Amino acid sequence: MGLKVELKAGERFILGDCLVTNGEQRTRLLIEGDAPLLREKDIMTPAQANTPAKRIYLAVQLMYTARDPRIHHETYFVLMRDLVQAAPSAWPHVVAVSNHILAGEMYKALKSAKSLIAYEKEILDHATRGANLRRGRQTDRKSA
Amino acid sequence: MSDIVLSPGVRSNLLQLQQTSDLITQTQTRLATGKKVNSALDNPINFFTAQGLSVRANDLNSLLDAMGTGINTIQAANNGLTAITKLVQSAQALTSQALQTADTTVRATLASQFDALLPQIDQLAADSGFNGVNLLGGNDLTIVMNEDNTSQVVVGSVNDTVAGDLAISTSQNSWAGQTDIQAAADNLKTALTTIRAQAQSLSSNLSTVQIRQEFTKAMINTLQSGSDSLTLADSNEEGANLLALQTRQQLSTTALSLASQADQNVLRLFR
Repeated sequence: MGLKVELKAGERFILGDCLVTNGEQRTRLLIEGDAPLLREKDIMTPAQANTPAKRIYLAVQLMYTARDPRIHHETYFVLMRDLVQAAPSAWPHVVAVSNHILAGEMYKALKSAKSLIAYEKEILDHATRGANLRRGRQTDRKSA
Repeated sequence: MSDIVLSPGVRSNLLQLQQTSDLITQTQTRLATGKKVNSALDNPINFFTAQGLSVRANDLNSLLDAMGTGINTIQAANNGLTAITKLVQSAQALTSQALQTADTTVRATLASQFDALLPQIDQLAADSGFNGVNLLGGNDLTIVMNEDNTSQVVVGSVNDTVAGDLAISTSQNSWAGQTDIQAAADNLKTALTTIRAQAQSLSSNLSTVQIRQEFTKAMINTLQSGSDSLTLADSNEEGANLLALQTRQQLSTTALSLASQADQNVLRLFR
């Protein structure tokens, strides 16, 4: 049973070592086999990867699309260690990503990395909100 | 010599490096403002988190042992295949010598040498096991990749005996006729192709397991180093830490190497 992919006009995706761009109309494709496949919405470019969790996502994505994932493992572990040391509560998410990589389920690893990004956003939002509150009203510092 | 061309990814990283100097000051202030570090005894949650980590590291360690044994088994089979290839090649030399002479006595001698080689092939195939698993002798190898046993690599076995997959028959008519020798030569050629295909599938299995093994090793290291430094902070602190890390990573070589890795990947096509 292959994978059904529905593409909007001009939508792109990565299939194995190739970038596939859809023409001017909607297309439905059926893809069989086990080459790495990445939809446009799932792709993170190095320029977009500007937070610790997004960098982890990028590293996993590189492993997924690379012929030899080994060269990316070192980077991955540096990023993972940094993140866990900064925010230990992200640990369960990081474990999920690592477990999927270990089991060779790279697509699932990407999905877990996505939830790691969401979790990081939660913490960062909280922190920025807190900082703004503190800056705004000195007296609120304790209760914030 | 051509100029060095910087890709947009690398260039934006370099730009970020230049713009970070004022951010560093900010980060250092944040880091200096009391990040409280609790001892494991003060905080039971930390204690159990850390304990969980070392338990997991132990689980992974036993997986690692299994992977190591698996790799040795595959390597033993691979060594067997290499040795069998050499024997088959010596047998090929015998057939080509026989084809070059018309002397039936010489041919008969070569034929008997050929027949003497065949049991040696069987012997090698029988001796290519490790830890009781012989991939050339019909024992499949299953290597478990994660603790809950949901991911496995199964290396299928072959039967590399002359009567089995290699299908080499003993010499006919003491190689008196040209066709008798040719039949043996054809057998050998097919056998070599079979062996090559087997070796290829073994080596691809080997590299899969090796990659997972390295990954597991690195994971264990991270777990072990992580368990002592893990101290659960409140989300304000974690947020500040993450912001600091975000800044610090922009300065780091990791970000640069990520960008350059992306340049060598199919992702480079995606701009």
